Formats: sequence, C-alpha cells, structure tokens
Amino acid sequence: MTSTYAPFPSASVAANPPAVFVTRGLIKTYQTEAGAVQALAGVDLTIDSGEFVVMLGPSGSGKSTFLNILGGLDVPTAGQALYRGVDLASMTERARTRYRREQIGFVFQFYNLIPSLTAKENVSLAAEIASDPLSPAEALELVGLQDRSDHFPAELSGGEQQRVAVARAIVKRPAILLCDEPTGALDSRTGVLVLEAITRASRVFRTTTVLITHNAVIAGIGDRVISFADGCVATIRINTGRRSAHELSW
Amino acid sequence: MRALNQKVLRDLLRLWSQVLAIVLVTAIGTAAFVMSLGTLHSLQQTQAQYYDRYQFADVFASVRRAPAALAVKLAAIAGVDQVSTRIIHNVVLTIPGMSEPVNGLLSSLPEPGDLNQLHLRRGRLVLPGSTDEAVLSESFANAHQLSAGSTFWATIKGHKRKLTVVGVALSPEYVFFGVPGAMVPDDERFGVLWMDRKALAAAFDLKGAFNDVVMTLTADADEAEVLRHTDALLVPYGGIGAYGRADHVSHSTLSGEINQLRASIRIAAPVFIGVVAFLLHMLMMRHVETEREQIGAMKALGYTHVAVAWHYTKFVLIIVASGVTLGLIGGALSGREMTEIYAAHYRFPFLDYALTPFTLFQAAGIQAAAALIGAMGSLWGAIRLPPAMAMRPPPPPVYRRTLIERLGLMLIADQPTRMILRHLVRWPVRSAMTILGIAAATAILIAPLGVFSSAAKMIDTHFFRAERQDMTVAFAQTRSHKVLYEIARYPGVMQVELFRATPAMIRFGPRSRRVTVIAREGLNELSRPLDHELRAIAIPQQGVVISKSMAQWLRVTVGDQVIINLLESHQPAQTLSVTAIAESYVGLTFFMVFMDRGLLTHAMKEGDVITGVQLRYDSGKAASLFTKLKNTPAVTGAVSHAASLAGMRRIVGQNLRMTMINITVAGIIVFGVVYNSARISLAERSRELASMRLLGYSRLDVAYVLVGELVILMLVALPIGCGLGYLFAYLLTEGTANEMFRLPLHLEPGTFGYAIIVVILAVALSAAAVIRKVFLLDVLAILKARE
Repeated sequence: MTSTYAPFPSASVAANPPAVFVTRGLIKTYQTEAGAVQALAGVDLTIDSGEFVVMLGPSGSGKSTFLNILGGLDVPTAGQALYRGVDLASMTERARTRYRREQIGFVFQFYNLIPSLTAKENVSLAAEIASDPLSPAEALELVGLQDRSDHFPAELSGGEQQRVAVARAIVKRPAILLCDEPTGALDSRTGVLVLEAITRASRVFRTTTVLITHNAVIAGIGDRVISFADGCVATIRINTGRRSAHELSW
Repeated sequence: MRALNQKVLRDLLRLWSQVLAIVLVTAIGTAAFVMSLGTLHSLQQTQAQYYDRYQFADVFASVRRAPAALAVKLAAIAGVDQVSTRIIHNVVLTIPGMSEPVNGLLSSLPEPGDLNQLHLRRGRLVLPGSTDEAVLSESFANAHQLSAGSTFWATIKGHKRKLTVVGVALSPEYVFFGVPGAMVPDDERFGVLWMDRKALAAAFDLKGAFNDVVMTLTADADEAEVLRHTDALLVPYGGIGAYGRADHVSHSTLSGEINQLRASIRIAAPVFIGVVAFLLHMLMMRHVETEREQIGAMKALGYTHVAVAWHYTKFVLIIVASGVTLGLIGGALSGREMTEIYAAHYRFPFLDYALTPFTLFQAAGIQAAAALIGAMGSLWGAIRLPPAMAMRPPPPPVYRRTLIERLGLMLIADQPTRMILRHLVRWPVRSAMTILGIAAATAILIAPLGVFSSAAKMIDTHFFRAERQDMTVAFAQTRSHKVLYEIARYPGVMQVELFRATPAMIRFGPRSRRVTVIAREGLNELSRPLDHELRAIAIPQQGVVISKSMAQWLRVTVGDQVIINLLESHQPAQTLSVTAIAESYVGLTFFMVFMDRGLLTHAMKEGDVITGVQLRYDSGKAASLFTKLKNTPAVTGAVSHAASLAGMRRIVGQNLRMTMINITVAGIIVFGVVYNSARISLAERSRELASMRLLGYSRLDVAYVLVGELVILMLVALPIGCGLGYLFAYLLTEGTANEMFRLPLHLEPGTFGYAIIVVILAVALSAAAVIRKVFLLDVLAILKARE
C-alpha cells in the first residue's frame, strides 16, 4: 500500500503527464429500501491537467456520483478511478481525507457553509488545514466579496454564499476544483458572478476544473462538454469557441 | 481563534437554553455528589479521629456492685486490651429557672490513662477529693447557660446536694445521647455530669468497687467471646449483660447517620448521572443530525474523522465542564454548610470539612464520563457518516401506522393526533428515555415527601396512639407497687399506670439479643403496645408480646416459642410463646418484650415491685407536681411527653429543608428533560409544522402536535414515577432507620398528588416555552430553506 501514502505530484509538475483523472469501467450501485439503484454503469473517461470540463445531464444521470468519486467523497462499487495513477478506491479513508485536504476544492449546489461562521471564518476553516493556502482575505477578494467578509451566511444572498463557497474551495490553491451545480439554486445574474469567480480561479491557479450543470447554456465555458445519461457517458464534445462567463445568460 | 473553535462557541450560544438546562442538571448532580461525599468523608474521618484520640471503648457493661479487683480479671480475658471501671448513676437535677425535673447522668471523672477521656472545652477538671464540683457536658451547659461558677442541685441518694460547675467538656461516649427512655436528645432535660470518683464512691456506697466498666479490644479479638467471658465474670455481681459498640446508642446513631448519607448517595448519584447522559444524548443526536451537511462539508474540505469528532466532543466537554465547575463550587460551599449543621447536631470537639481533591476528581470524572457516554452514539454517527452521504439531506424518516391505528382504534383521530402517535412510535428509545427522565424526577419528589409523611405517621402513632401519658417517671431501684397510690395523690395527677422494666436476653433458634422486658397488666390506657391496625393489645397473662423489629430480627411469628433469660434474676430461663406482635417505630420500643407483671414477678421470684409509672396530669398544677417529684428521693428520671414530641418534630423539621432542595432539583430535571425533548421535536419537525401552517392550521393546532406529545409522555411517565418514588421512599426509610426511630413506610395519596402537581407545572412551563417558539416560527423561511 505504498502508493496510498505516496505524495501526490504537485500541480505544476503535473503538466507533464496530461491525464489527471483516468476512470475505467466505473460502476456505482446504491442499496436502498426499494432495492439496488445503479448510479454509474461503467464510465471510462480521462480528464487532463488544467482542463475545464463541463458535465451535462438530467437528474439521476450519475454525474454527481461520478464527481463525488473523483473527489474522494464516495467509493466506486467496481472499476477504477485513478488520480495521477493512484487508484482512489484502494486508498484508506485516512489517505482519502488527506487527498481531499491537499488536492481538491469543492463547490456544492447548496453552498454547505457553516452557518455559525462568518464568510471569512468559513474560508479560514479550509485554509487552516491546508499546507500553502492563500490568505482568506485574498480568496474572498478573488470572488469579489472582500467587503462582506464579516457577514454570516444568513446575512448573505444565495450568490454571495456560493461565492464564499468558491473562495473556501480555492483558498488552499487546489490542483482540482469540483463544482456540483454551483449555479443550480441561483438566478442568471448571480449565477454568472459565481461562474466568473470559478473561471477566474481556475485560470489564475491553472486548476483542473470539473463543473456539473444541467443548464446547457453554461456548457459554453468549458474546454470539453461531457453528457451523462443513465449512468454512462452519452457524448463528449470539444468546445472550439470557449465563451467567458460574463457572456452567458439564461 | 481557530474557525472550528469559533463554531463551537457560536453553537453553544445558539442552543443556549438547552445547554443551560443541561449545565444546571449537571451542576446540581455534581454539587449533590460533592456535598454528600464531602460530608460523608468528614463524618467518617472525624468519628475515627475522635474515637482514636479520646480512646473510645469497644465494650460496655453495667453491674450492681463489683469489687475493684475484678478489673484485673476482666483485663485478663483474651482479646481485652484495656479496662476502665467507673461509677455511673442516674440522678434528678434542679436547675435554677426550670420547674420541670431535669435528668442527669452522673459519672466518675475518667483518670489520666482511662478510656473515654474528656475533651475539656472551658474551665478545669474537678479537683481530686472535692465533693461539690462537677464538669458538665457542653450541650447541657449551653442549654442552661451554665458556666464555671454556676451552681445547681442534684438529688444524690435522696439527698439534695448543691454542686458548682468548674468546667465544660465533651466525651466520645456522648457524641449523640439522650435521656434513657426519651425518644430524642433533649439538651434542656438531659445532661451528663462528671464528679470526683471518691465523692461518688462515698455517696453511692461504692468504695473499692465500681458499677460500670468499659474496655477496648485488641485488633484480633473476638467480640462475642469477650462479651461472653465478661458476662460470666459480672453476672454474680449483678451484671446485666455486656454489649459492644453496635448496641451503644451514641455510636450506633452516629453510624446510622453515616449509613443514611451513603444510602442517599447511592440512590441519587445514578439518577443524576443517567439524566445528564440522557440529556446530552438527545441534544447531541439532534445537533449532529442538523449539522449533517456541515459535517459533510468539513470532511469534503479534508477534516479527518478525529478532527470532526473532537469538534463535537469539545462542544460536549464545554457543557459538562461548565456544569461540573458550577457544581464543584456549589457542592463545596453547601457541603461546608451541611457539615456545620452536623457539627451543631453532634457534639464533636472538632469537625473538619474534608473535601479532598480525590472527591472533586471523582465527581468531575463521573459526570464527564456519563456525558461522553451519552454523547458517544451521536459522535460515532458523525464520524461514520460518509461525506457524500452527509452532503445529501437525510432520507425522510420512515413512519408507520402505529399498533393503535392498526387495531382500528384511531378511526376518529384527526391527522395531528396521528402525527403525535406516529412520532412517538417512530422514536421509541427517545420516547422511553423521556418517560424515564420524567419518572425519575417524579420519584425524586415522592421519596423525601414519602419519608416526611412516614415521619408524620410515626409521630401520630407513637405519641398519640401508643404513648399517651404526659410523663414517665423512673425509679432508681424497684419499689413496692404501693408507690402508685402515693403518686396518685401528688398535685395535679389525674391518671397513673405502673410498669416494671428489666433487662433480658431473648433467644430464638440461633439468634439472641438484649431486650427490655416491660411488665404491665391487661389493657392499659396510657402506654400500650399496638397491633398493625393500631389497636391496643392487651398484655396476655401467659406468653409475651414482642415488638415488630424484634420479631423481624429474630424471625419470629405469632405462636413461636422464645427463650427469655431475665438478667436481673438468677432464675432459669423461661420459654414463652409469642401471642402478638406490636408495631415499633421509635427507638425505645424497638427491642421490647411485653409481659404480664404477675408472670414476671413469678418468674423472677420477687415481690410485687415496679420500676416506674406513667402519668397524666393537669397542666395547671404542673409546677407543684414537678417540685414534688424533684423532692421524691426514689425518682431518678422523669421524661416529659411534650418535650419528646417537640424534639421529634424538630428532627423531622430538619428534613423539610432537604425536601425543598429536592423539589428544586426535581423541577429542574423535569424542565430539562421535557424542554429538551420538546425543543428537539420542534427542530426536527419545523418543516412539517410550517407546512401545517401553510395548509391553514392555526398556531394552536401546531402547538397541539408538540404539546400533545409531551402530555402523552408525561401521562405514561407519572404512574411509573409514582412506582419508582415508592421504591425510593422504601429505600430511604430503610436507610433512615436508626436506633432512635424507624419510619413505617407510609405514603399518602397527597404525597403522590403533590409530586404530580410539581411535575405537571414543570411540563406546563416547558410547554409554554415551546409554544412561544411555535408562535415565532417563520413559516416561509423554513419552507424556503433546504433541510
């Protein structure tokens, strides 16, 4: 199990082998009271370093499950999910925790902020356990919330809360940014602000970014657009003319 | 400050009302524990040190008159370490300003090196050879404000002698004592006085002799053997049976008090620990459940399981630490006060409040452990939750149709009522725990109130049904029964009954015990034994009536044959059948055997003699009656019924304070348990309650769902609590039983009613607090927010 504890190559070195994630035959089955539900039915996919991938698909198509497995939040039932050659499924829980802490930044649809902590404190929560973080203030500035840093989540709008979540995800300078429906709960105008924050961060830190949405308009900001259906990859489309976030509206 | 620490503090503030309830319960539990344990240790330590320093004896014996040389033979008994002989006599005292006769126990002053040394508080000891100097027991001196130089009179051998107080002292033999024949200590009417031995020897015709002996034993001594050998030596000289510390009134009362304290700790500690564990369990379960997604977020950020668990453990520890700290301070302070109450009650030369760091550590450790055990389940849940799962809202809880519904009994019930029932059944453990919490609090209320009503019952039975005389008069020696006619002519005397009391050994099978035989005739009106229905028992002409405690101790029932060995006579032992069993609540009657006076006279082969009378008098002529009694040489003791009653009521009254404390504690527990349950229900169900509001239900309808649940839990809990309270009361009265009185367990309907009212009030208060929250419910905000 030496590979489990081997340090992950840093983001800058990772430019050489372009594949960051490789999945082979990835299957995930959930047991529920109603019976077994297959969320992933064998996904083969490669994501390269620095790539901005947008994943589309209806609810229940398996994209969130796929993202959770990439992020080390969940483990596959079968198949492989390799991060820079290391199989995430074979990692111990402890190693997966370290993997999340050092490599991954998450943004969720419902922000998942700690309501009892201010914007800045929520960002600090991530910074405190990172090895080389930005200052929380810098991270908040990057998402344009420097003036709201002492506000509690309840005092912020949905878009602002999501931008705090983005700041919390990027404060550790993660190699990977995983965003699950970051604009799903937001209107077009605030959604654009959040997407701007995400694209800016991924550009500044050359972060590999995977963004889930069911909003086809957003697909325009990705290098590649991968569509999910029934637990499988349906189509992969390379975006020739990438659009910037502020051009979008829906 | 670290962000997570910040979160802990803010969470505590957000949940302040629930946190405060738990802190209070923890504080009270810890305080009670520290207080009782501190007092227990103080008493044990003081008792041991006092006995050791002042050489308290192990064996005690009285004789009529034994030669001084016998002491050498006593000392030679295997197992005897040291022997001190003494002269002891009951006398009647006349104290200036007190018309009633006062009882005195006159004892020879222990010489240096003797056992049962005195602790001189003020003044000096008696000068050798002086015939009119006395050292007084401190409580008696204080009660009459007598000090060095004060004078009073003692009737010694029929002669009234003027004595001068030279000192005030304490003795390990009389930490707790009362006039022989009285129920409770009465500092005004009973005192010990020590005089020069030679003066007493001359006065009581005991030159070169003694009438009382005390001995210490070696570490490996067999007490029963020593007692047997001692009796063999003393009986020829009128010995009436040696006894050990267990039968020593002062020692056994003090030890009984210590045992009672220990018993109450054993009952109370688990209740508090359980309640704290339960409350934290509830709070943490809900807290972790509501923070499910935050836990997921923390894990997604890369916080380890240990870090997440530690975060919630800190939350628990801060609550417990606050409660424990408050409790330790409160316990230390109230323990000091408690110890001071004991210091006033007993006559210790010193009473150190021994609060050791170990006691504090024990109290803190037990509470912390209980809290962590209570919180462990939910912490474990938080740790185990896979982050991806945590990020999703929990699946809606699976509700089922309840058994009651399936039986078809709910056809008429409306939807809110169904919601109540299904919620109760959905969380059976929590419902059960809430019921148990309310039941425990009910029991905590009933138990002391039960002891209280038992005491009232005991007083009523003993003082108003069994012992109805105004005064009991005891004689130094047996007198002819004709004294009756003389006393009947004393001023104010309305009724006189006579009795003959004599010590005996009673034996049944392998068990034997020292008792007092009370001989009377037929059915008496003033002092009489009562059966279990409290009807007077007539003394049978053949056979004996024995007290209930005696019967229990010997395992004797009516019809059994007991062997009675009359210690004051040299006649062979009598085999007599038990014809009835008498109720016995008060020390004096614990070990009593009632017998016909003719039968006793015959058995002892003595004349028609008595040792005392019980009388009723006209209180208007009390002063002249008292004067007459004080001037009657034969009288060595007079016990006032009213004074005994007052003393007993005073002791019972001291328990009232304890009851008030218990009511507060129980109220806080009920409030803590009920309020927490309701708040958690409210938090859990805010969405469904908000939906009800949107559908057009009124706030009161919504409150009904929550309060109805509480009421059902309370209704189930109350009968269980009543049963538990009965059990606690039983354990407490058993623990309270001592040489002075034994409480008959007697719980009145009012006791239960009172406890039930207090619980209902506490529930109502919690309900009101929750209803207020329901009224403040922001329906839209709740529905808009994701779970």
